[in-house]
Amino acid sequence: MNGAGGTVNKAVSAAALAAAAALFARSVFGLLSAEDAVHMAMSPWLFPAVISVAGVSASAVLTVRAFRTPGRDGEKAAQDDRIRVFLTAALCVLYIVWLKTTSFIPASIVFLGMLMLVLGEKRMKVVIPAAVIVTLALYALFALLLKVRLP
Amino acid sequence: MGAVPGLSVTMATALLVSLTYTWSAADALAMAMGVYVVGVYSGAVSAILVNIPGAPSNVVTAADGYKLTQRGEARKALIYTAFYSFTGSAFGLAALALLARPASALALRFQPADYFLLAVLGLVTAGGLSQSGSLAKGLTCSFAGLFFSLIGIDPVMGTPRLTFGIKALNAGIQTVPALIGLFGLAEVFMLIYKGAASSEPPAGRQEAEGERIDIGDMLRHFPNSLVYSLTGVLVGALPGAGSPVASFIAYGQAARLNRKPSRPFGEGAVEGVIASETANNACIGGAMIPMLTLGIPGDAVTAVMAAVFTVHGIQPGPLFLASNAELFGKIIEAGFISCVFLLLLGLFLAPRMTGVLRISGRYLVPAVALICAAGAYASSGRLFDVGVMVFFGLLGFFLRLGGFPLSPLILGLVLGGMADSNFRRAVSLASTADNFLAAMFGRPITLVLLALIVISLVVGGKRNAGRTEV
Repeated sequence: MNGAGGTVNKAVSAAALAAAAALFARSVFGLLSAEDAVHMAMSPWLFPAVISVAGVSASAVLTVRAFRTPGRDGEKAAQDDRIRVFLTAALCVLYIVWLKTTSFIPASIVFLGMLMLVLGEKRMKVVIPAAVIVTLALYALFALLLKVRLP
Repeated sequence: MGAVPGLSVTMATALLVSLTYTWSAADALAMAMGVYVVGVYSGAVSAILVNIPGAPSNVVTAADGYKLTQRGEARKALIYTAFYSFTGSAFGLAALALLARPASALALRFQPADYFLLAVLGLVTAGGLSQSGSLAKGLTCSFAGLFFSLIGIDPVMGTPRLTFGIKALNAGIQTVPALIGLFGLAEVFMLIYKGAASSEPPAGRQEAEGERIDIGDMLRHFPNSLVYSLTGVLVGALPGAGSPVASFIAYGQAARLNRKPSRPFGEGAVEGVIASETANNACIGGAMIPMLTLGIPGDAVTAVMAAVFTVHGIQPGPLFLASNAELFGKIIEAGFISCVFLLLLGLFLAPRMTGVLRISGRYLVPAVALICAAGAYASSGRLFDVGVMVFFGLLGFFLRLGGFPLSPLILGLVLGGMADSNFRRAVSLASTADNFLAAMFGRPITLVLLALIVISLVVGGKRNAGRTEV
């Protein structure tokens, strides 16, 4: 995991630095727009300005270290597992679309079935009943027993 | 759920919050206490049986606990763990019952600047003492949490802030979907990434039944457990420190208190398991003290519990005990009842529950993903929040890949609003005084808090210096 951590470290550190710098710029602009010191003290951009300074400092240290220290070769996920993560993320996004166009039960059965296939369960005689049973069980738990609204 | 490798007590609490929207506040908090108390213990079960800590606070437990399993003494490890988790939890809850009122009285003296500094202390401590061992990583995550807390309509001026023209963001980032994403869906992605979701569960040795337990030997460690319990309460009460820190400190204490351990530490010393599990369970009561009396969560789980309070329209803080004395009593009662269940489950069920650890990830992981989605939707009835949950799930996954701690992020998200409004109130009040700095930071409580922040930064910096990892 460290192998990936080397690259991810750099990406996350740089993204945090960029976000903190952008927030600082936006906050300073917001503060300078205040009419006077009293309005500045209550400005919605006062607190963001303060934390963005701290954010820039911490993420700058992190970014410099990340780019100066070579990434370690450690435990790295198998190619199949990295593809599975990507497919799972894509399925999550598709699930939101399905929820919007259908409803909880059909969307969830399709989502669960496809996720089980992605995770390597090839037996359809297991996938289909498992997807249906888990969906109905969760629907019963949330919607019928606990009276929680579902799409 | 905590006993299943990878499914932490924070995740369990976050997921179960979504089930409690229609419940009374007392029932919801009682359930959260039950999950908290039993969940912290449960993380030790997978640590002992299959060498996979259920939570960061069980990492130390795995060092000696799994060695005991390999030697065929799993039942001993599990039963000792159950008894001393019970002892630690009960000690922590007793401390909560005794200290909450004095702490509330003290909290009434706090002014806006003090609340702001308390939030900073929590974030700095969580960042500095996180498992990543990097102060910069911890602080960056604290900043990220604060950043997300800023999104939405500004509560003081009523103007949109960082919404980028997206109307759905006017309501801000809701805590519950973010929590479910960070601790639930991120875990799903991690399990898939590590191959645990597509392979058979790890096997531990099965000699969890049939050993004789020497009650006298078990009780011999009781006096030392009081020291570990006290450590757990004190560390837990420090905003942001959390149970992993307590378990590490207690493990060090055990090495000093036990000159002749049953086996060398790290080689199956039951004393190490006892120290770690007593302290991390005692942390529960300690972490509840700042959460209930100051509104400052002591760790990630109490940050989730703060969301339970918010969902039910209850404001933790100095006036909580005065206005919700009955509810406070029920929280304590629920905690003690949970301790009894912990003991019963630990003594009679845990040694027989190796089968639970063998649920295939192919079925467990999709089910957890679906619970995450249902829980996120249930929090507000908006599909947008399911999207927020997925976003935080991916964010949590990448942060964990990069070795970033999640607790500071969630504390930042929970504490951001409070820190923001109190900071602006403090600046506004101080700006009318003759001496701004003296008005802002000149009071004794404020100076103590500033000193604690500096100490946290120094300690965090020293830990950082001790490690080379970025």
